[in-house]
Amino acid sequence: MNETVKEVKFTTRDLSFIGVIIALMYIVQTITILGVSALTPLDPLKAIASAFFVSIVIAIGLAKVKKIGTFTIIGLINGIICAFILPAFLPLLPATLLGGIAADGFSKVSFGEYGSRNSLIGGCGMAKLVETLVILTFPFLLGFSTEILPPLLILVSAIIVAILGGAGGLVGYKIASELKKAGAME
Amino acid sequence: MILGLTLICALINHIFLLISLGVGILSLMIFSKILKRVSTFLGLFILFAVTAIAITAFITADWRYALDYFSPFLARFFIIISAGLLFAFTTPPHNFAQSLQQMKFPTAVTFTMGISLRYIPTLAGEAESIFQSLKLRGIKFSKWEVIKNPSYFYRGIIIPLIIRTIKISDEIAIAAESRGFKCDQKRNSLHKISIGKNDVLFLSTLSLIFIIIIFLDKNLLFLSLS
Amino acid sequence: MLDYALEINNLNFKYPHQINQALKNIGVKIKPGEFLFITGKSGCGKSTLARCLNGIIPHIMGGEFSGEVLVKSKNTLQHEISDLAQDIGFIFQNPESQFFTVKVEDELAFAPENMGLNPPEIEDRIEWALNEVEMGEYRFENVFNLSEGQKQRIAVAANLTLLPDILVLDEPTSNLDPPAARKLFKILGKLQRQNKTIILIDHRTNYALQLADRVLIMDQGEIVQDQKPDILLDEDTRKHYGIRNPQVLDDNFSPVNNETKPQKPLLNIFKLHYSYGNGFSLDDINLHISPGEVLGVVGANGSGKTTLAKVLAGILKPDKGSISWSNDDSSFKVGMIFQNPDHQLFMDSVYNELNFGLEELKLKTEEAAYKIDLILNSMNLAKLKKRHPHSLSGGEKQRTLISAFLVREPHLLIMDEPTTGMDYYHMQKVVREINRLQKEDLGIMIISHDLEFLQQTTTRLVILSQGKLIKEGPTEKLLTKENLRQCFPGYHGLSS
Repeated sequence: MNETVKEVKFTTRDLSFIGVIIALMYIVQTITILGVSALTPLDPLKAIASAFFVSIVIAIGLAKVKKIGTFTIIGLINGIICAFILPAFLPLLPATLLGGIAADGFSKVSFGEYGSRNSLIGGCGMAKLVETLVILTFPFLLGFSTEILPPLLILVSAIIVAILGGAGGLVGYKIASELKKAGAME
Repeated sequence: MILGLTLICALINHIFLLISLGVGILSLMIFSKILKRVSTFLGLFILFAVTAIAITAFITADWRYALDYFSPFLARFFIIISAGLLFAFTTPPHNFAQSLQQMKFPTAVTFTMGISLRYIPTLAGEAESIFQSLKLRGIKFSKWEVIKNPSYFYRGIIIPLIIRTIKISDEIAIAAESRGFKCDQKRNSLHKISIGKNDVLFLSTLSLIFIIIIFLDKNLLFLSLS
Repeated sequence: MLDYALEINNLNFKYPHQINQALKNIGVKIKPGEFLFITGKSGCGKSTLARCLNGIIPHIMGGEFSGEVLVKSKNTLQHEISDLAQDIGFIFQNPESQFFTVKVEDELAFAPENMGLNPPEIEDRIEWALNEVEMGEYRFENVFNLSEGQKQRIAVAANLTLLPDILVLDEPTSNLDPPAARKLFKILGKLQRQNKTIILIDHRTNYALQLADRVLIMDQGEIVQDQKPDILLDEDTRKHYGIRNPQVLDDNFSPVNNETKPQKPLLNIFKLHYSYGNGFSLDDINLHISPGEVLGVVGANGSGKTTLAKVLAGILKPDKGSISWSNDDSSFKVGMIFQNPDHQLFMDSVYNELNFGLEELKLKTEEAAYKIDLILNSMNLAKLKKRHPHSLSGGEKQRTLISAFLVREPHLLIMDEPTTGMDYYHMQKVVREINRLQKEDLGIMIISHDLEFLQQTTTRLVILSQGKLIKEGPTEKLLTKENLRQCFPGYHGLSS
C-alpha cells in the first residue's frame, strides 16, 4: 500500500475530499438500506442495492481526486471504521482494503489514473469483486464458520455485485461529468 | 487486541475454554462499568444465537446436533463481539484516531479518518434538509414512486449531497492548511496516549491466560484423541 | 519592526475557465495594527483577494496568478500556507466546515500540534486563546453543542493558538444573529488593541464604521476606493457600489411597504405547540397570515423561527394546536426557500428543475411547458433556461428555486434568510421580486435578521424569543430602535 501512496502525492484538498466522501458513503448506505427496506425484506438485496449506490459515491470521489491509491485509502479507512463501529464487521477490513488495492492495481496497469469512464467502471467493479470474494471466504479461512459456500455460488454472487459496482461506477462517471460541465467540480 | 483474540479463538477448539474466556471478558466489562451500555448489543447477539440454534434444531429435529454445530462458532463470535465492544465503548473516536497517529500510521490516513468520523453527523444533517426539500416539491418516497422513478432516488439525494461534499471539503482543506497542517509532517499531540501501569498489567495477565489456555487446549485435544 | 504587515503589489488573478479577471492590478500596503475593512458587491473579488492573502490562492486554488503578496515580507509564492500559518490566521463564513474534531480542546490543539509544539506549551496557548474569546468555561464542551456564535469564536481561538499577528476574516458573521455578531466584533476590537492587524471582508457595514481604520471598496476586481470609514456614510457612494447602509435605524427610518388591504386570512394558527424533545419547544403560537401581506419573522438564532416555518410548510407535524387554511387542507400548498439553495436544486437544467415533481399536479405536458415558460419569463430566467442550476450565481439559484415553487402555485411562500451575505444591489433585486409576488395575492413569510431588507419588504412583523411569540404588529410600529434594543441587544453596533 505504501508504495502506491508514496508514488503519488496527496494534497490536503484530496485528503479532505476523500474524508468527506467516506462519510458520505455511510450516509448513502444508510439511506439506501432504509429505502430498500421499504421495498424488500431480503438482506442480500439490500447489500446489492447499497453496492450500487455506494459505488456511485466512490466513483465521484475517484473522478475528482484521480490519483492511484485513492481506493486503497478509502478501503483502509472504511474497513477500520467498520471494525470500530461493530467488531462483527471485522472481516470487512481485509475485504475493503484488498478490494481497494485490487482496484488501484488494476487501474494503474490499465489506465494509469482514474478519470476516464472505463477506469471508473473497472475500478469499482474490480473492488466489489475482490471485496465480495474476501468477505465470503475470509471467515472460513479464519475458522469462524466450519462450512464454506459452494465455490460456484461465491463466484456468481461476486460477479453480480461486481457488475452492480461497475454500473455504479458508470452512473458516478455521468454525475461527475455533469457537475464538471456545470463548473461545480474540477 | 481484537486481532489477537480473533486468532486465538480460531485456534481454540474446545468449547469450555471458549466459554471461560467469554466469562473473563464479561467481568472486565463489569470492571470498566460499561456493561449497562453494552447490554443491548449483547442482548441482540444472544437473541440471534438462540434463534439460529432454534431454527437449526427445528429443521434437523435434533437439539444436540444444533448445539454442537453452533456453539463453538457462537462462542467465538461472542468473544470477538464483546472484546470489540469493550474497546469501542472505552475509547472515544478522537483518541482512536490519535493513537493510530502515534502508532506511526501515516498522517494522510489519520487525518482523513478523523474527517470521515467528524463529518458523518454533519452530512446526516445535510441529508435531512435535502429530504425536507424533496417533500416540499411534492416527492414522496413511497414504494411505487421509487420503482417508477429511480432518478428521484439518485438525482434527488446524491446530486445535492455531492455538491455539499465538494464545498465542505474545499473549506476543510483551506481551514486545515491555514492552521498549519501539511500532509507529510510529523504532528505532536496534546494528550499522549501512553501505555500505563494498568495496561502493562492487563496485557501480561492476558498473555499468561492465553498461554495457559492454548496449552490446555492442545492437551485436552491430545487427551481426547488418545 | 516591519513597515508593513502585508504588502500586495500589482496582483492579478483569473480563475480557470472564466473569462473575466477576478483581480486586476491590486496594490495595497497594510500597516501593523491596522483594522482594514474590505467591501463591495458580490463577485467584486473581495473573497478572492482574501484567499490570496495567506496563499490559499495559488497553493490550493489555482489559476492565472501574477504579482506578489508579502506577508511580513514573506512572499506567498515561495512559502507554503502552513509556513505562513504562524503569521496570518484565516476565518471564514461557515464555522461548521472549519472544525476537525468534536471537542473544543482538541480543536484548539490542532494547530499547535501541527507545529509540533510541546504539550505544556499547547496547554498554555489553549487556556490563553479561550480566555481571549471569552469561552474559558467551554474547554471540554462538544462542538456540536455550541451556538453558531460560539462556534465562530472557537474558530477565532483556534487560529489564535498559533499567535498570528494578522487575522483575515471572510464574512465571519453571515451565519450569526445580531447579538452574536456584536460579541464577535467586540472581541475583534480587543484584539486590535493588542496590536493585531485585522482584515475584515464583509457586507455588513455597521460595525466597520465603528471599528475600522480604513475602508477599501472593490468593484469588478479593482480597488476603487481607499478611504476613511466615513465614506460608508455617503449615500451616493453606497448606491453606486451597491453597499449596505451602516445605520439602518438612524437614517430617517420608515417602512417602505405598507400596502395592505384587509382580507380574509389565508391561514390561522391556534395555540400551536411543537417540541424537538431536547428541551426546545415552540409554545402557544397564535398567528394568522393574509393573502398579499408580507410577514417578517424576527428573533435570535434558536428562537424557533425556522421551526415555525417548517411546521407551516408541513415538514414538521405540530404536537398540539391547529393550523386551519382558508381553503380545504389538501389543496393548500406551501413553498419554502431554505437558507442554502444547494439543498434544493436537483436537476441538470433550470427548465427541468421547474419541471421536477410536477407529475403530482397532473398537468398535460403542453400545459406544464406553457406554464414553465411563463414563469421563466416573468422571473427573468428565460435566458438561463438550459444552464445547470449549480453553475448559477447565488441570486440566480434563489430565483430558480422561487420559480420552481411558483409552478406549483403555492398559497404561501416562506423564505428563510433570503439575503444572507447579500450586498445592497442584489438585495434590491430580491425586494423587487417580493413586491411583485405580493401583488399576486400570495402570502409571503420572511425570516430575517436583515433590518434594511425587512424595512423595505414587510408589512407586518412578529418577534419570537425562546419559542414564544413575544410581539406582533405593523412593521412601522415594531421596527424601531427602542423595540429592537429591548428584544435584541446588538442591532445597533457596539455602543448600545
